[in-house]
Amino acid sequence: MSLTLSRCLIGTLGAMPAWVVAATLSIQVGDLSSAALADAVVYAVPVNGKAVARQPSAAIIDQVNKQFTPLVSVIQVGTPVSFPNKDNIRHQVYSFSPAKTFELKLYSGVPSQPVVFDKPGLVVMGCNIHDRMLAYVQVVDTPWFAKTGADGAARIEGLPAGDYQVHVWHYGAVDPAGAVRMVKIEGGAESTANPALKLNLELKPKGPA
Amino acid sequence: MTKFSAACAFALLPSLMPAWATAGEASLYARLGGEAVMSRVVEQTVARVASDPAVNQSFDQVNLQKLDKKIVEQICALAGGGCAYSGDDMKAAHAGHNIAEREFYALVEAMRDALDANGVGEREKNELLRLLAPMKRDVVTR
Repeated sequence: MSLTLSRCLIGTLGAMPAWVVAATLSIQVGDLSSAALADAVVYAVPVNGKAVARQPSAAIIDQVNKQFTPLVSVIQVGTPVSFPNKDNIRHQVYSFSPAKTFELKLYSGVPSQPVVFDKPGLVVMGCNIHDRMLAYVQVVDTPWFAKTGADGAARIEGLPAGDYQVHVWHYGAVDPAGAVRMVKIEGGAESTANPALKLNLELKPKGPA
Repeated sequence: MTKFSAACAFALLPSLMPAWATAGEASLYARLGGEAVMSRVVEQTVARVASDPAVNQSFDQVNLQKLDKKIVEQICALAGGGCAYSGDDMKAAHAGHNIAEREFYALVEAMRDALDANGVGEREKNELLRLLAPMKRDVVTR
């Protein structure tokens, strides 16, 4: 592309409104020794309170080999969650968490009603029959969330310009409230930088299995 | 109701009563020793089969305390103890566990021994096992 043409395009882009630009926030979560921390929930809440209400898509928490999978989910308030039960045996998922108290009998091969998680907060669930089954669902009041992979990395995409409280939570962290950081997403066409956040959480010592 | 039909109704009453109770007798559950005895019997029965590697595959990771409670409740309901059974039917509860006949018989044997060990009489023992026997067709799927 010739220099003249590119300058022309930049000029055109400069005329576009700031809300067209959406940034990707990259988050790297580790423990106190900076080792990558998987399954950390990250979510961004706009400080001015104007979260875009996205149509929550359905989520799935399956039961395979007497375990819930995924172990950790993050969903927006109002998301229906289904429990397919891939095991060929019965399960009974339940939770006493204030954000969602429920009990659901799960029969193999019989589709069950999805459960709508209609309040923000942490939901911890188990199985009434198999003691070791455990799952965490963070229900958040924002469409901007992600979960770190095995490399401790997560990306929240589509963030409009503005100030955000970015929350980071992990089930193994000493602080059950997790950590919060302020992040400013720059607006304007000239901003090409996608912000990155690096954060380490103190984990509880691993007890006997 | 005329005197005749009232007398007929009275005559019919004993046949309407469950096999385990003759008129005026305590329920089987009471004669077994009620919850105190049956809680111990069930706990010992389940503990024994759940710890035997030859027959315990279906107990893998199962919360035995919760299981014991449901079984006692079920026996209470079946044996006239007045409980309402809140668990699943035997077919749903055992579906997918692929339980073999020898696993079922191992539990029956363990229960016999536990009933004996807890001083339950022969008559009550046999009445209880007769009540539970029909479950085999829903429990055993292999």
